[in-house]
Amino acid sequence: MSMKSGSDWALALLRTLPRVGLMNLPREPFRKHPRTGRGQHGGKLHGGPQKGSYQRMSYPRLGWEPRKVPWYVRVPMENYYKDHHLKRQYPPLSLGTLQLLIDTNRISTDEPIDLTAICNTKLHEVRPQERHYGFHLTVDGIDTFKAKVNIEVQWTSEAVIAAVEKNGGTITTSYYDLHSIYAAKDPIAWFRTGKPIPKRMIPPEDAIEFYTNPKMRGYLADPEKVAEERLVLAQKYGYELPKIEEDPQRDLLLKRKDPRQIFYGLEPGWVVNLRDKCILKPKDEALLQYYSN
Amino acid sequence: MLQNIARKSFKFRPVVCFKNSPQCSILPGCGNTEVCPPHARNYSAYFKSRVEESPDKYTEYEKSFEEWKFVEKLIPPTHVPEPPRDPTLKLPSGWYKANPPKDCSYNIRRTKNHMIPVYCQIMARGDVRFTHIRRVEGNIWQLEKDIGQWLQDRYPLKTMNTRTHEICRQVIIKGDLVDDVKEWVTAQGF
Amino acid sequence: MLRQICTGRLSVSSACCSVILSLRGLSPNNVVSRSASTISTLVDSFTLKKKSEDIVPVVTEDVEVETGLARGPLPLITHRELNYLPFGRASRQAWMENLDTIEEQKLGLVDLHPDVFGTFPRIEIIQSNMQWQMLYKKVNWTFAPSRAELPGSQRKPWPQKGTGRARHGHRKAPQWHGGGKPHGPRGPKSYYYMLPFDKRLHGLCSMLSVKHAQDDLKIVDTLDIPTDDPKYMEDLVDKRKWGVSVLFVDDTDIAPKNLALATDSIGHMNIMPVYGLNVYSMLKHETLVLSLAALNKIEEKLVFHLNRHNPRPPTARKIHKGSFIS
Repeated sequence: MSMKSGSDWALALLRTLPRVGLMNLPREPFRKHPRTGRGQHGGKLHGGPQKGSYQRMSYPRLGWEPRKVPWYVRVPMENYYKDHHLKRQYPPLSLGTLQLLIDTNRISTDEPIDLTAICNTKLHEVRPQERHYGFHLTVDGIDTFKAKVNIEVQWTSEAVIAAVEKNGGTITTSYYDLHSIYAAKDPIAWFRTGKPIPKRMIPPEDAIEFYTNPKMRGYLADPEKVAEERLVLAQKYGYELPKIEEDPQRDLLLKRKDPRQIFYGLEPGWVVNLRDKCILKPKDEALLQYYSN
Repeated sequence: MLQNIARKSFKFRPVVCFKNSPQCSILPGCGNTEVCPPHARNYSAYFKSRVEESPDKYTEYEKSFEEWKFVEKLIPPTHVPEPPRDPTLKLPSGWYKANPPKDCSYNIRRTKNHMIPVYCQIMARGDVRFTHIRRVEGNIWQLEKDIGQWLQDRYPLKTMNTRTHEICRQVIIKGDLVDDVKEWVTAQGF
Repeated sequence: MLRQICTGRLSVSSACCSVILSLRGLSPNNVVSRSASTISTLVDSFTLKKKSEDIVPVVTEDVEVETGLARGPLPLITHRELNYLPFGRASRQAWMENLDTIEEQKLGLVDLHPDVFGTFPRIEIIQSNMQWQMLYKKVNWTFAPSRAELPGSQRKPWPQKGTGRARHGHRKAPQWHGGGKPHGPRGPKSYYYMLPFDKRLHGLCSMLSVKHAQDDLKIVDTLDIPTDDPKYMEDLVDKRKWGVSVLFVDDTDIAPKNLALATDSIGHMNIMPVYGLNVYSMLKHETLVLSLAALNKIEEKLVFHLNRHNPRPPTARKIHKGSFIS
């Protein structure tokens, strides 16, 4: 079937017109921005009074708004945003989006899903320079979530854990420090720099409770307590917990990273040589000791 | 004469390897298939980096080729992955393979990421909203008429303002009607 | 008389041909010269012919020996396999021509990707590409000294009072003849900036579409011509009613010797490799001639970037005006 496209019409019209050349190109239409006067005399009075520094200043000072209360005075203080630039940020990723990524073959469920797998879709990103400490798996699209996955996220809620475990999957919350996030978000770029894979640091004081909590499936929690909490959550939400031990994908679902590990199968301290396609492992005692504890 | 001196001094420069040789950033088989152009490199980092010293100054290491398979899993694909091809396949997320009607005089083409190109444009702090249908092919005026009529029937008390942008091949509807338009587009099978 | 096999392997019957092969330092099993054998393998990779077919030796006709170059049976090509085809849009088509005779011979039909050779002609994107190519290499060297930079006395020319003349404090003041320039052009100024990657990409696609729509895009099998006489090229362009200026594009940066010699003395016929193809040159030359190998390469690159996974390759970095200090 061939439909006459708008492009075909335009190209057919172009056939009847003179040859497009250097001399007959129209200019790209642009909008002329209104410009306030600046400079020594262009700005005139800057909207201020007729005398003194207001009239004679060559450039209006920072935050100056003529005839108005300046913005920085007008906006009241909002203390609930205080120190927001120091807090850990977790960009959201909803369950519906995760299902869409799986359905369109952006993420494979044959491998454990972690931060690197989500970043490799090139649709979602973390920016460690803006203190993003990983993804927060949110409940949006919880009703349509049907995938069976082994997923590792950095923050989540109880309902999401229930949704993942109901489908027979497993979920872990694990902490990545900013230095590890730099390596995990774009591993190839990290390997290309020739730096060794860093070791993952333990969570800070205010986060250690979350990541050792078996209810939140923390990666530092006791596995036996996690198994117990899985059963408790299933009874709370009223679903039958699928048995992982009898699952054919058992190995995949129970795959976990070491608390010091960033990539599956690769240990901290190793250097990846992308050209020779090999791994360089250190043999020095001091290095081995540093990366092992 | 000066050129000769410069060439000689360049030749006997005490540098082990030239870091700005283009091979430094080649990596076949992963996302960046091109050689990194000079302007895309961070030169401040380059000049600060230390020159390579003799091997006896470094600690020992061993080479291993077995773990390369784990690195291969970390390499992103070059092209956008192919989604499922069956248009009748029902997926939990509601995504479906585009299956437009055969006798339709227009088509709404999916984006590079296989999504429906309907977007909301927000202007003036949310007071002005437009719905854009992008990537329209074919008879754009027919599409404008059809979607306008359908929306008018759905919201009889509202006045539906639609227009076409022929150069960018868009149909623009006043108001935030993304969900309604997506519902219509899905029902048509685009 | 050449006996050739269409499927990559080449059997050479004539002794003279093997001499040529040994002179070029190539083994006969590989693809040999840039003549009909190359094109037959290229064509074969794009036709629907199955590789599993038996090797069929094809004897070229005696008639074609007069042209100087031998090729397989016509049509050489009728179909190309295109990736990432949009739904419901037919591929654009073009004739494949020859360059080895002055009269035009149609050697086959080539399918062109509609996203590259049939996109919406965004003339304003073409213009912005052209403007960028003109500006990024421009340096404004004009310089006007200010009153402080002019040589001469700093003295007050005459007393403030008592002379009956207007009051002045400086001979080099801007209102004086030969005085300094207050806000004049200052020194070498660079106009360098980088056009956004997608604008460059769509500029190339639009330009190729425009060239094809206006019948100025010619696709030839190879750029080999039988003679190095400039008159031959002039006659060819004249006979086929091509534009006066012609741009030949090949996939390698070593041009065929005959074509290089023939177009050397003609200023408006130029040769360019694929990596040098740009919007400005396509606008400047009236006719664009692509070899089939060049066409494959151009299309592969542009289709890759139209459908690539990574939204921001290293070349897509935006560089603003003025970020480079002159």
